[in-house]
Amino acid sequence: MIRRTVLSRILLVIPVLFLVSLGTFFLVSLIPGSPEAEVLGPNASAQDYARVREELGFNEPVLQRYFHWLGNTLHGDLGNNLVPPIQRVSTMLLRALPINLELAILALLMAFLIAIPAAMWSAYRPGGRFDRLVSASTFGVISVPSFLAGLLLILLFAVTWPIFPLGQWARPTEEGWITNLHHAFLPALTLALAEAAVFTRLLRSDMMSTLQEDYILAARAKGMPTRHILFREALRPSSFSLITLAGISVGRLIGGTIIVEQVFTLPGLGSVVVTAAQKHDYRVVQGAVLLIALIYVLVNLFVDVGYAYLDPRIRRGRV
Amino acid sequence: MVASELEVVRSTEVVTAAPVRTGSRAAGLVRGGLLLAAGIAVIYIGLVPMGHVTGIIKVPVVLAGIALTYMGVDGLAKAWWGPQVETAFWVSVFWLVALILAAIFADFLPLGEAVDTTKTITIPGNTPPDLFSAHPLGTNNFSLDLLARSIYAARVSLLTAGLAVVLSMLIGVPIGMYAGYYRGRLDRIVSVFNDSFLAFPALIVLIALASVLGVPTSVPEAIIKEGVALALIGIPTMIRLARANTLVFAQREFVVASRAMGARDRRILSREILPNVLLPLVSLALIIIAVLIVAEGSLAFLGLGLQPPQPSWGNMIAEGTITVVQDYPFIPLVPGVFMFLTVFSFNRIGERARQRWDPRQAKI
Amino acid sequence: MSAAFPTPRGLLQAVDSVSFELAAGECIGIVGESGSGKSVLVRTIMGLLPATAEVGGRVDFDGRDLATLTARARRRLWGARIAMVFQDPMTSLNPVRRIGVQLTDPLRVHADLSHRQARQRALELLALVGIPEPARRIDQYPHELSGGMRQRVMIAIAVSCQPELLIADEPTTALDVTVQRQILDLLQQLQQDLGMAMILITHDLGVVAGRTRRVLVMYAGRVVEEAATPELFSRPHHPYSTGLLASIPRLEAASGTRLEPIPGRPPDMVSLPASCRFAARCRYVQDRCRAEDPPLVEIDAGDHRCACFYPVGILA
Repeated sequence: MIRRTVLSRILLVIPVLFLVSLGTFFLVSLIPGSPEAEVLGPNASAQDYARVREELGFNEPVLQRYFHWLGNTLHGDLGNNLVPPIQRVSTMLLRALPINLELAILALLMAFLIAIPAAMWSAYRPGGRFDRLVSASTFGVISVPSFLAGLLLILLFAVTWPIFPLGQWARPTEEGWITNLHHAFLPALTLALAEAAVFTRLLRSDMMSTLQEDYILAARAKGMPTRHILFREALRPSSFSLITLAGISVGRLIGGTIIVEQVFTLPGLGSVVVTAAQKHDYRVVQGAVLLIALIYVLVNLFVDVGYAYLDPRIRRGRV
Repeated sequence: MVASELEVVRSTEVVTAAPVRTGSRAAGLVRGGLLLAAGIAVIYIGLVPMGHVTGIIKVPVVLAGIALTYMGVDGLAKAWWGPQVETAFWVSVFWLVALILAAIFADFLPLGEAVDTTKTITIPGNTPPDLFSAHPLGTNNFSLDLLARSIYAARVSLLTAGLAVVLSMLIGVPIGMYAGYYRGRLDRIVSVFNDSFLAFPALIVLIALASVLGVPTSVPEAIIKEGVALALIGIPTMIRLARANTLVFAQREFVVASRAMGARDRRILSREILPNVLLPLVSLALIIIAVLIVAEGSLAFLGLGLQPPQPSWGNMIAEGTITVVQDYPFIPLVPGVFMFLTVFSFNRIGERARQRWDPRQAKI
Repeated sequence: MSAAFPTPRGLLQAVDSVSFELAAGECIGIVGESGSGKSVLVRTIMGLLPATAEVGGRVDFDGRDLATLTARARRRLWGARIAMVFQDPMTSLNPVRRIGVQLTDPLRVHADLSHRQARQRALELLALVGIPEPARRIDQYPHELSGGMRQRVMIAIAVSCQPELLIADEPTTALDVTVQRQILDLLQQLQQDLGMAMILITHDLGVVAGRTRRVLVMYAGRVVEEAATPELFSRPHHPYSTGLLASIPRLEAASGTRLEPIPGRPPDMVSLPASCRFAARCRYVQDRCRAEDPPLVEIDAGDHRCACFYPVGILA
């Protein structure tokens, strides 16, 4: 039973990716302006423009271009980018991807670290001081857009009290992990705060209903300490929605960091895509969007499978 | 085993819940009043230039002042009307009403110059907020008044988000309802397409769309272009929500009864299901407006939306570059506070509406 | 003891002035319909009520008043010296944890056993309560066991640390009739073997017959009759008790005999009348019953108490 659902999910991935890449292709082709002007600059002759246009394949109809690209991609070749400096698209993406991955993982970890204790204690003492404080804070945090939050964090922790650097990224391979984490902390925190707020609200509400269950009362009647009840009895049944949400978050964190990248000047995937889109470098945009969509879909698949593991009732096929 | 005796003794009197003593109401009023006064005083210190309170320190001071003022108002309200009053909700309503009115009548209000830099040559630029001067919230680098700009920017944000929500509902709700009602093939196709749309990293699509539509040159053009772009982003979500809610209601007995009485599908959909689907959706729409305001702000922040000197909260915040922020933090923070309060208010009101109207069974 | 809950409509007096004694190793039954307060009573004794409940009175356990203990002290008692078996084993066992760990929980916390020792003891306990193939079952999830087996597991958990008092709150209500008797036999056996005091709560008089020494009959939060079990069955005095007994179908009765239910419904616990709480449904009701609330008094020398102005079978 579980195998069938997993299989159908995997099969669904392919049409989704197909649609995503097709859609992106069309979208980018609609962006006004010409790639040849980007490549040669504004002062080349008309013939040069025409030649470059031909070379880049822009005289072909869009669909044909798409299938060319698709063919190459399925062979693992994402091509080179169009605008100098010419590099392989895959190189560009692979240089940018680790930044997003690291930020996403750090942000998720931070979000869990904040959300789980906050939600658990709030659910344990609903209506109490801590709970009301947490409720108000999460609500406030959700209402702050990420660029504002990033700005505030920079203002407080990089300008007023210069604990953290003002931005930029330090690659661990070049400058070591300590510097890297030093630079990554504030951007990751910016991302984490928004996620943590949502996680906390969700987990709190799920936990509150779980804590009403009979088996929690029975566990208390066994004389189990509070920590055991919260962590070992109540957390797992309450975490289903949270895990699903976390999966969606990862997808969002990988692809949606453009604002944070801008505020902290990080050369991540978002910046790569935006710069390329402005220059009509469609190969880069295609490759990047495909990569992001692929990660997103895979993560969601992983989440669905993980869901089944957490709830043994689903595992055996029983509802 | 130790011998034990369990003895339950006849009880004493039962203690009933003691009523709230009237004395504490006066105490509550006094406390609330004190907090309110303290809050206003702190904000005053923050926003009126004083010798020894400078620059960066003002930011946490003002924020603390706002918090204290809120606590004061909350204390007063609870002391007067009782502990069940939701201060945050009413403050949100008040803020939105005030903001909307100000945005509508902005041209008639005694505000400083918001857009035309030729008129502000004589005014000093980058002046910090000074509550009792001609520029209560300060001026930016081009000497344009921040308060005026914030209010005009509200127009853009509110109209854009409103347009986007209305459009996405007009398109998304019928599709979602049809998919949820008829199920089968239509539903599967819609779901696959929808899930693919949702797999698109939203911000990137927005950026692409914005690039495609071109940078707007006037305010109305910006509102329409951004409104349409945001609506396109919002449609998949609307479809999903409408479908989920339709699924819940289509199985209910009153629908089955209608069918049994021979009602045509269209009638069922419009008379029975639509009202039930619309109510929770409207409450969610308020929250979606909040999200869209942030999205519009993000676009403007990235330079893809309305261009300066036309004000949008996003591009006003973008003026706060790293160098600017160190010396003149109020430049990005004034629009930031406006944006935060507006988004917060929509969220709060939407949350309250959702508690009233959203059936808990609808699984998104 | 008393227990009351604040509700939006007012204070709900769930248990009102209930008082009884239980000796070591003794088994008593508490019988009453839904809403009579019997479950609330035992939770009050244990101290398991939510914080909003208002509790009055004393619970003397081995010389200490349970009502005054701190939460931590109470937790040390629960599972170790006082244990409870709940009504619905499907919802009382954590569905995402294996029964083995749920069984070893109290052993590791109260008896301080190591992981291996606890697991060994768990296997023994499973065998003790009559579960076949304990080694296979111990790693299964609750939904993989039948209702009767789940209840056995709950009983195993309850007796694992050899408590002095076992409270069984409607242990068979959620089970098939055929399984009910097995479970009750099991409980009785364990109670005798381990020398525990037991409180057996049920709405079914048949459950307490032959298994308990004494029975308390509860109605609307009060004890209305209290007697030795055989005494209650042969000479009930409260109209409610007689009604309960009369409504049990009997094998000896001729077929076609009408069952005699007790008409009416229990009173609203938020706004209780000043009269006898059973007055509205009592077939022997008199004026005095509608005006005053009868106290619980002794009748019939020999430890038989009844709360009625005109007890059945007693001439005024």
